[in-house]
Order: sequence, then C-alpha cells, then structure tokens
Amino acid sequence: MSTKILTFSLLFALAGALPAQTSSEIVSLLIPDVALLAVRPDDGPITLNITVSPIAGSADFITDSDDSRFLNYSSAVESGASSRAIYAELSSGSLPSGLLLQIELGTPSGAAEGQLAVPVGPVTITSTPQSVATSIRGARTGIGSGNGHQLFYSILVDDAEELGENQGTNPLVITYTLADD
Amino acid sequence: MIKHYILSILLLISGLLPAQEFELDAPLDWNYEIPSNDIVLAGEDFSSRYDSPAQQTIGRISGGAPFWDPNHPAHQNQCLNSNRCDWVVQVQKIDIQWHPDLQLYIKRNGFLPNVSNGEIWQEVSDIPLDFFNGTGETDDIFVQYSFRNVSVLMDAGEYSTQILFTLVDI
Repeated sequence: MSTKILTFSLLFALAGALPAQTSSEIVSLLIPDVALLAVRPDDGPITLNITVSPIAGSADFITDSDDSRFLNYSSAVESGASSRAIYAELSSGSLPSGLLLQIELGTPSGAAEGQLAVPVGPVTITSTPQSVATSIRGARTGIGSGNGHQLFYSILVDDAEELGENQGTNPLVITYTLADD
Repeated sequence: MIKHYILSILLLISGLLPAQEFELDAPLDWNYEIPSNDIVLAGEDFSSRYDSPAQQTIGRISGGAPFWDPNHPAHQNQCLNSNRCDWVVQVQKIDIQWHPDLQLYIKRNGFLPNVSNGEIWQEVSDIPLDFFNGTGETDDIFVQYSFRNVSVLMDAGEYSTQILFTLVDI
C-alpha cells in the first residue's frame, strides 16, 4: 500500500516538474549615422541693405538685419563618437570693402528635441568655415520656419571710408555644414 | 525491490510523456538596418516603427503522436485526464545591447484552429509573458516583430536582443 502511494506521489511530482522547453533567436536594429541640415524657409535670397543716413552732415549708415530663416537639422551620432558642430562660410561672392556680415543662431525653438546645438554667439563670416554652434549629438529640430534655430543676419560697417567707394548689389552664398566638432 | 519497482515505473512513464517542443524554422534572426534615406528632410526623425515580414519566424509545436493530435481520442483522453496537452508559449527578451526607449513588439499571424491569442501586437519585456496558447501539434506559426519608438535621439549603432520562447504545459 505504501509503495503505491509513494509511486503515485513520484508520478505527480514528475508530471509537475516537466521541464519547459525554450527556443531563441536574435533580433537587431542598426541605426545609421545621420547628419542633415537645411535653411528654412527656402524661398529665395535674403536682401540686406545699407544706406547713408539722410540727415544732412551725418556720417552714419543705416544697416540692415534679417531673422526670417531657421536652421533645421537631424543628427544621430554613434556612442563614443565626437559631437557635431554647425559651420558657416562665405562660399561664393565677397562682401564690399568696409562691410562685415555677422551670423548668430538663436536658442532652439518649436519641435526641437534632443542634444541640440549650443550657439557660440555672433560670428563674422569669412570664406573660412567657422563654428556657429557646437555640441550636437542625437537631435532633431522639426521641419520649417519656427523650428530649430532662428538665424540672425546683420550687416555691419567696419570701415566707412572704404564703404563710400562701393555701390550696387553683391550676391553672396553662405554655406552651412553639419560636421564633427 | 521497491526501489527497482519505482524506478521501472518512472522510466516507463518518462518514456510515455510527450516530448513537447516549440521549434523555430528558418529564417532565424531578424537584422534590420534603417536605410540611410529614411530621413528625407532635415529636422525630421526616423519613421519610428519598423516591422519585419509577416512570416519572419516560422515555429511549430511538435510532440509524440497520438497525444499531440487534438482530434485523436487518445489525445483528448490524455488532455481530460492529465491536463497535459494544453500549452502556452511565453516570450521575453534578454538584451544584448539595447536602449531604454527602444521597444520591441511581437505578434502571431495566420489562422490555426488549435492555437489562440497572440494576434495583437504586444510589447516584449524582460520578463516572460504569455504570447499564445493552444493544444496539440501545429505547424506554420508565423511570428512577426516590430521595432517601435525608434529615434535619432538614440545613439547610432546596433541594438540587439535575444528573443526567448518558452513552451509551458498548462
């Protein structure tokens, strides 16, 4: 009698201890590096004017500025890689003598999210690429005007005497590049 | 003598127990690379969600007939008496390289008369959760994956996890 009880007990124990069977596989996702940059809205050139003050006897100039554009970008950076910066350069044309063109990025706005660019402040643009913002890693600004960093363009008089010899229109092309910091 | 008797019974019973398995057929593993042109406009994010083919993984439940034939009287008798023919497949992930914001979803596709549940996307977590359940043997269990919440805010690089399916008797 005791043998039967023991046997059934062991059978139940065995049934309860049936091993679970497992199978497995690997799934993986590869996120690529991303570095995309654009100026928005893309609706033609910005015009900056400089005129002489109409006040008789005054040597002052009336300069112009523009804040109608925004920098949009998407960035994905590998862990351990250096952060990115936005560089600006005068890639085509030249400023009239006696004038300077300054660019400054505003703080992020709109849908911008992530490790966004840190503006460095006003930068005088030359034909050599200069950093206008740094420290970008994984980030996106959203698309279009109102998203990202507002761009402030200012034309400044550096040497009034040289400026007096210039008239007309000077087309300029400013190129922005998103690259390693 | 008693020991021998018990041992013989145990060996006999263990030989009769169905060798239940959940096997995965080819293609195994899913490695997805987001195409470089996924982001068209500067300022955009990734598409957020990437689904595998509907039949990314094909699994089957197998065991010793007739106990795993749901229409066989012996199987039905076995299920009624011992309640050992019904099973559930649980799923969990064991991260190899992962981001806390990245989500993996899973679902089962296709109709199988003796398999229930699993047809709605569910998130795979680090703890085992019931995926689908059924009774008896079956082939062509189609499994699909989906990466969710993918963003440029994560570091670029490879994220991978091991998907563990566990067949449990119920």
